[in-house]
Amino acid sequence: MRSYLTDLVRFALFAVPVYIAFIIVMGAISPFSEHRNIKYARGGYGHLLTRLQEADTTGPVDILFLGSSHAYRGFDPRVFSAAGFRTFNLGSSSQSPIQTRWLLERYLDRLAPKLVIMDVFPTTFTTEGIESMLNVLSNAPLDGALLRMALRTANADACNTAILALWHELTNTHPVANEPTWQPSEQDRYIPGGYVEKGDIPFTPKKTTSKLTWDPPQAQWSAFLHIKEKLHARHIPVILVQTPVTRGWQYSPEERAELKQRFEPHANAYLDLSDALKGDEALLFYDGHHMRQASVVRFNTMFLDSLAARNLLPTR
Amino acid sequence: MLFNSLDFAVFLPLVFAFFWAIPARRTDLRNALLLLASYVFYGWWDIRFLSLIAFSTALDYFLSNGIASSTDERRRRLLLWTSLGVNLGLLGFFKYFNFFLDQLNGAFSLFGMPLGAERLDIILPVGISFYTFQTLSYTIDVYRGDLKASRDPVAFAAFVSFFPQLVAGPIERASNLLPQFAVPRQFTRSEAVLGSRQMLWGFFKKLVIADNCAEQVDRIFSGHEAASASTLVLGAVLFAFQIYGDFSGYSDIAIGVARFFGFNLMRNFAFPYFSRDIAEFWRRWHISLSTWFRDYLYVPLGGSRGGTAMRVRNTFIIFLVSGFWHGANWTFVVWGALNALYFLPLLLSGRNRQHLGPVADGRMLPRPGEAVVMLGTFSLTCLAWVFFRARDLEHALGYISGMASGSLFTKPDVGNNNLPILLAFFIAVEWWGRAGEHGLERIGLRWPRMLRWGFYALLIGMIGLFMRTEEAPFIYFQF
Repeated sequence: MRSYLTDLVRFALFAVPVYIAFIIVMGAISPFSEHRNIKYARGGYGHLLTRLQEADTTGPVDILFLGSSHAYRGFDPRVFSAAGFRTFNLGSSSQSPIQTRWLLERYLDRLAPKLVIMDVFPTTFTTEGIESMLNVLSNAPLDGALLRMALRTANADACNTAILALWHELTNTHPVANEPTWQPSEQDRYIPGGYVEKGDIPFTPKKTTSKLTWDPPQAQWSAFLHIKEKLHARHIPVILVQTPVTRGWQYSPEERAELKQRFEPHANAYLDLSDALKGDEALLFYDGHHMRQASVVRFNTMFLDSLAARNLLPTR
Repeated sequence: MLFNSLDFAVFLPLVFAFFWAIPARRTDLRNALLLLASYVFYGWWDIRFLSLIAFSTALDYFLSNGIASSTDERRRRLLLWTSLGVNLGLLGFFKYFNFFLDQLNGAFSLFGMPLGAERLDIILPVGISFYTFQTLSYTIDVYRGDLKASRDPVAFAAFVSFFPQLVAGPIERASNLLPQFAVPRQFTRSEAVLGSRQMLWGFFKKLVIADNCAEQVDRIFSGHEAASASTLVLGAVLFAFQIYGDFSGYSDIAIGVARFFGFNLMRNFAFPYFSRDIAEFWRRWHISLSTWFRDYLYVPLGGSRGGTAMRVRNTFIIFLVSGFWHGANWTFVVWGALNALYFLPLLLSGRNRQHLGPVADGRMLPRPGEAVVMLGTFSLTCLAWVFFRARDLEHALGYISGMASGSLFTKPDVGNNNLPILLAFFIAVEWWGRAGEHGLERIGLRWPRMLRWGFYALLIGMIGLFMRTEEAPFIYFQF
């Protein structure tokens, strides 16, 4: 038995470096292949690379936005700037609380916000957060916490992508150093302050309705509570927001009441603005749950007024 | 609990550690531990159905002891038929009730008298077909006097529910497995190494080959109306690899895991796609089921002893029952019938046992003639697999008519460019290792250790790189 177990340990010690080398070689040959468990996409969708590069040289700010694409496509720093507020948007695609926590840990001291506004789209709470993890691994500067976070998922995509990202980090061989601010294929333009403005694309709203699935993994809810506690410890007020979406993506009144009950105790305010925009949805939105630029400006203005009325805005 | 889950990755080392921590002389404690572990393994899926397996175990334990202790033939036969009736009744209810109800409804509707009987919401307990056949073989063997009835209820219960092979086989014979629970097990390094290697190859087959094929097979079969003939042919070929990788992969893992505990399970697959005719294919595919039907159905029916008509009848019965065993759907029956038709010319010409050894034995490559007959056999098998995979007969016939359309010589839509490379690698390893029990058994044994370990690490790397990241259940769980 002992010799078998000894051999097993020896084999494991031998196999780990071979595995790592294999992933690096395979990742370097074709980093964007669709059917493999390496999803290293630096400078990919959502401009996270540019956003984090900017975050490294920005701060302090009055307002910090966190969350999914609803945050980085829903809060335009130009509108807030016109009202006299310095803002930064740390949102990323499908960002779940686990990644929000890591981003906050890394950038909170530098950005030192007076107010945090966090998008709490329920779907991001109920996933394992792999999509967002891959996005962060590909574009963020790696550190021990991020690597541990990737390994803890026990997901082949996340672990392999972490290996390749670490290799690029250590050897300084990132395939993309900077991404263009305008991405024509997506009609996306990066706006300083972390925002991404979408071009004019056609949209036909669907009539199907969303049903709330509220069963967040323990790790997601714990990360959310940790975020709340960290901000509370620093006396930074937090506003949780549901941004406007089409009727097809809105939940029923009962489901919205349930969400309010969940979130309200954990913030200075919980604002469900999912139905705040009324009108022709084909003109208001460019897909089921993202606003067109004109709608973002309208929503942000309305949002600022609402915060002012509730006395929730920080001092300028 | 799935073999390809994190739960199992924790479960197996724990059971392994506890098992070997118990002194070898305490076979009773080890059996109790295996029984407990097996019930945890099974209950992880749905705890309610533990009562079913426990009931089946208790029933066969007492009935077989009744059979063994009685000299009254009428009583012995009554007890045997009770076992057959209850076990097959349970299987019939859970697996076939709604199917027969549908047929009944359809038949009455045909005569303008709709029955209107509603389907029941029945969940098929995982592995019921496998453990039912396993316990039946035990009771029949005791009745025949081929096996002594077990007097150890814990050992018997552990035999019925032995977790490595409980839910998808191999369907063990009591005469092979049950005595292994009665003797002290000794840990042997060589068996553990063999088991590790077989598990590794099983995981590769399942996670890399079967699951990657499954993705494309699902796409092609669900959208067959719009696919070209060449893509449909590809879909059938990929399903052949999917089901082989999935099922033989499970068997390899099961046999490998059992070896960790000092148990030897029977071989279930012997490189069936290197067969030179259908008879050889059926000696190499799902061996534990084929031999079960041979011993407990074909032989009692008269086997090959009678005239031609009886041999033909028995062959059809075996294949039709085998098809129906797989599921309550006419597609499985047609799949069985098709294989019977393939088999018949060989049976009638007396050439059904002409290929008993491995193909191209002692040679690196097959002769051109051997390659042609292997390809022909594989093609026939793929055609039959279309019925196995299709959701109903209409789907299967539509798929096959699409395969026969004029677009056969266009480039097929593979959908995943890695698949041809992975399949080529897989076939090469299987061909290379075809003289062994499984593909990896003999490969690299004479290589320097670092090279051999490097090859195994490469397989692990391929699993990590190409496996699907969501857990995919094994196909045979549904049977």
